[in-house]
Order: sequence, then C-alpha cells, then structure tokens
Amino acid sequence: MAIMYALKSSDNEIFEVEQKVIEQSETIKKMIEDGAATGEIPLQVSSKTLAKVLEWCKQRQHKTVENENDDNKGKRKKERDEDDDIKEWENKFSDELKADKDVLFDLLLASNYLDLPALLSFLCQLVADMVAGKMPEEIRRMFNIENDFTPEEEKAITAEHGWAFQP
Amino acid sequence: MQQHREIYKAIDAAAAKNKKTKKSTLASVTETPLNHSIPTDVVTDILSFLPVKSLLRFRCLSKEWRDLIEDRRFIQMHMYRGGNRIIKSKVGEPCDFDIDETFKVLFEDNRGLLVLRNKVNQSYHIRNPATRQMFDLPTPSFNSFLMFMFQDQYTGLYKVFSVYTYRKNICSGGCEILTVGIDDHWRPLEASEHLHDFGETTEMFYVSTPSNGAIHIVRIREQKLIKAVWINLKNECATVISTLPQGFFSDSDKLSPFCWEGKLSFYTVVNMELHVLVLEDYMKQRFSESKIVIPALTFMDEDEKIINVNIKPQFARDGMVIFVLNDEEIIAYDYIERRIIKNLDMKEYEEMYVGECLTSFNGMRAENQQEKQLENPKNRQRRRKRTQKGQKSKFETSSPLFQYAFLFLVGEATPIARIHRMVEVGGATSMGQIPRTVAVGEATSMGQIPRRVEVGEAVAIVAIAAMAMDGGGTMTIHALLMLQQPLHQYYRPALG
Repeated sequence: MAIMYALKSSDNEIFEVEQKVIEQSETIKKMIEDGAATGEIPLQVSSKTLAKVLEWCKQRQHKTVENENDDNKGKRKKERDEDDDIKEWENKFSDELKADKDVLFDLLLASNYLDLPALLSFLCQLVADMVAGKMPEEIRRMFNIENDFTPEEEKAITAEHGWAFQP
Repeated sequence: MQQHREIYKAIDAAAAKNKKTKKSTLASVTETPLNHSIPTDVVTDILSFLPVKSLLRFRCLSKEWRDLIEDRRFIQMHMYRGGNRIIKSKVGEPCDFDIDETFKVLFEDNRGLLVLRNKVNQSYHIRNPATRQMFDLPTPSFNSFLMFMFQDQYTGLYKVFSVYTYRKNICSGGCEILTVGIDDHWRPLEASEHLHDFGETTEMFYVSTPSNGAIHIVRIREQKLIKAVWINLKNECATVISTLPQGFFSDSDKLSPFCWEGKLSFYTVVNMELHVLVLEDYMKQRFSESKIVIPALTFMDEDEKIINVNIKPQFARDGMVIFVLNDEEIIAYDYIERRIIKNLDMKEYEEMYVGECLTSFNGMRAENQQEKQLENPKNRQRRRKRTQKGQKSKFETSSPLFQYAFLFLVGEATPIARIHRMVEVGGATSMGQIPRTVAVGEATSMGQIPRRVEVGEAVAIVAIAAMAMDGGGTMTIHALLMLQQPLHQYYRPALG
C-alpha cells in the first residue's frame, strides 16, 4: 500500500499524492525526511499550478517505474520507444503552457520553489525557445526589466555586436 | 609554473569574491517585486539555453543582464548546455585545412573555437565564429605544425599548445605553450626535451583527451614503439614511456597506435582479429589488464564482398570501432552489441558536433572585413566534408582514410624534405629517387629530393603523389592539391 500525502494549495485545495510521486520534489522530500510532513502540507502554489506540477511528476514517476522493471535485454529498443512516447507527451504539455504564459511562469516559479530540477530545466528551455528570436524591448516587457543604461551606454553596447540585432 | 599557481590563486580569490556579490544581487532581486518575480538563478537557467546571438542581443537589456551574460561561470554553464542544440561532446581535434587562400585551420574545439594561421603574414589567431571575434596570438618561436587548444575547467583559462620542428644541426622538435589572455609570449615546455629526437625518422601520432588536458605524442618506427610522450597541459608536466608491458604482444607483432575511447592504445591484427591494449591511466602508466579482442575481421564474413580487403581501425568512440575498408568505405562495429553498422552517415555524425560559445578573451576584437568572409555556413559544411575525406591531421599517420602522401618541406632554406606520409602510391612509378613506399615522417635527404628544380621536381612529385606543406619561414611550395581522389588521378609528369 503506497503511502499518501495531502498537499494543500495556496487556495486551500487538497491534493492526495503518493509519496513516490511527490518525493521528486527535493523540498518536500526533505520535509518528509525531517518528519515535518504531518497532516496536510501547505504549499505556496495555486491549485491550478499544483495540478500541472503533479501532472509532470506522475508522468516522470511512470517512466522510472517502467525502467526499473526492465531487464537489460532489449532495453535500448524499449528506451527508444519510450522516448518517443515521452516526447509526444512533453510536446502536448509544452503546447498548453505556451498558450498560457501566466501558467508557464507560475509553474516555473513553483518548480524552483519545490526544487524539481528536471521540470525546471524543461521549462527554462521552453522559455528560452520562446524568447530566442525576440528583440530586447519585448524581453524587457516580458521579464519586467528596467533599462538602467543611459542612451549613450545602450548605443555603445548595441554597437558592439550590431549584427546580433538583425533578424 | 610558480607564476601560474599564483595566477590560479588570484582567479580563485576573484571567483570567490564574485560569488559573494552574486548572492547579494540575488537577494535584492527577490526583494524587488516584479510581475513574475523571477529569481536571478532561474533567469540564469533560462539564458543558459539561449543561442549566442540572442545573448549578445540581450546584453543591452539591463546592467544586471549584461553582467550575468558576461560572467565567466555563466559562459561555462552555457557552453555545456548549448541551448536546444543537442550536442554530443567531441574531443577537440587538431586539424589542418585551408579555409581560403589566407587562412588555415589548425585546431577546432567542440564549441567551434578555431585556431587559425594566416598563411600570408604567418600570424596566429583564435576565432570565435559565434561572437564573430578574433584574438591575435603572439607569434610562436617556431612555426607550429600541431596546435592544440584546451580549457582548464578549474580556472576556465584556455591554453594553446604548439609542437614544432626546426633545424639547426640536426632536425629537432619541441613544444611550447601559451595561456590565452595572460601570457604575452609563448613559454617553452620542459617536455620539449622529449621531443628533440622527434624531428628525425619518426612516425608520429597523437591522441588528445581534452577533458583532462592531456595530449599523447607517440613515436613509432617500423611499427615498434619508440617512445610515447604524454603532456599534461594542466600542470604542464610530461611523462614518457618507451616500452609496453610484457606478455601482450609478441616481438613480431606490428604495432600501431590509435585512439580507444579517448585513450591512447596500441593495436595489432592477429589471425584476422583486432587486438587492442589500452593505456588506462597514463599517470600511473597503467595499461588495461587484458587486451581487448575484437573479432573484427571475421564478422566481415557476413558479406562475401568484404572479405580479405584492406581494413584498418581508425578509432573507437561511443562504443563503436570505426574501420575503413579499402581506403574508401567507412564502417563501424558496435563492440557492445557486437554488430556492424554499415553506411555510416558521417555527415550526421559531424553535424551533431557543431557547438557555439560566448568565450571571449582579454583583448579580443571584432573581426575585420576580410575575416568576416570566413564564415559562411555553407562553406563550413563543405569544409567539414572535405576534412573528413581529404586531410585529417598530418599526424594521424595510421589513418588509411587518405591514400595520399604528404610531402612536407620544412622550408626553402632547409636542405631537407620530409616525407610526411607516404603510403602505397598506385601508379606513381616515376617517383625516381623517392622510394616507392616511405615510412611516415621519414626524412629524405637533399640527395633524394633536390631543392630547387628540386622544387620543380618536387612539384612534379607533388603532382604525382603528395601535397607540399609549408613549414618554414618562406613557403617553398604551396599546397597544390586538395587531394580528394586517389593519387594516381593527379598524376602529371610535370607541372609548370
């Protein structure tokens, strides 16, 4: 019988999750190890975001279990097939996030807060793909960055690699 | 050495200081409420996935972003992430091919950094094609014919290592090193003394393992090991071995060096089997406990057509041994799954490896107009292909990929012409004084290759069999042919 934990979102929704699934979060794993995880675990994550986080964790968990059951023979082939499945799942997952940037950024912060390295780097890559072709002004707006260069300084720094500003 | 340790210390101190300030910026950012309030370490993470071009553009966003993008540790992190361009790490390889009439590439690392020589004014440069910047290296004491660049992971510093030969009384060799952005001149290495006799009749071979900053230079004569010199570019020390352990090979075995998964190894072919002895740990001079035996030549039976052909191993990498059949077809043998992979797509193999980085050195400058023309992705592609087919490094002497001889002239004033590599030259019978098959690196005296007409004759020889390389101050013969075809196709009795 799997050990279950109750996670409480910032908007007071309860999620019942298997220990193995949620232990991927280093933050929660540590809480469990320290014995701090009794009753409901309150998290500073909205229910909408937490649902996404758990969706990711369950998918990853699924993958790890399957791998453990494999014997070495034929593993390579199986891994390849699995990789295809995961890719497909990840594509769907990222398409949804691209469509809703607020969820994407919330999820990014949540994965940082919950210490989920795999999800964090997946999301960082996703964001990187989204911003790679953009111009500085768009990025400033997106990340809410204040331009602290004087016009002269900005002109100079832009001139250093002028070609990088061409599409 | 002492001086370098001091520098490393200084760098560490600077890095530690930097780390401290970094933490405080992080705190200040999390305190400032932003829309998404993304902490600096997450921003860093995101940026590490971006291509160089985007990062150079985003430097103008704010001072914080600029500092972050220019941070040495960030550059390092970015290098190993490589954005969404999935790149397998490849060992950096010394190479030798022309980009155009002016520039020759001497080294290319796995992040696309190039060491170039300007053939016109004999100047040396490091080029970062991703940032379109050049760094002008000081002039080496002797014209280099093997250059190797390596990054010390600990300090982040790059070193360029050069092997040269020169002639005073006897033909001699040596090596020197330079820490990029720190040294303003090349420093002779103690290892030079081990290379002194390398200028003589020698077949040389190198294996480089950039991860630990080691380069092996092996001297082989008549397929017997003479000496193997291992130079650790990190601490700049050298180790030498001159014998292999007893009991692995018999005296009659013909040994050739090659590279087994980044390690120096020696192979011989016994009863159609490939026997490999790997030098597991050079520092401790420890070889593998048993030979690796690959039934390489019996697996050929599966296909009748390729029995009894001239087959030579090139190197082993990523669980595969790469062979060349009859000097043309490349096949791989997966020694883990024990199967042959034919029709290996070398193009795909190469493309996987193109990387980029933000690396910049103190005193780096933007490329000038002429240098700008160097970069054209199409050229690059072509160039790679050509390297693959035509001219691997001059040192990869065991490589039968190219059935061509290199005639290596050490310079007009040098009364010696060195045959760099000469393998069977089909059809080129008019080679007269030059023995038909010459050992690699063998020095042929003036009596055999005359100097001036000699040059003319050499040109003829070149036309028949070889490519003349420049090595001395003035070039006697320029590279005439970019050999991509078997030699005899280039046969011409005389050349104007």
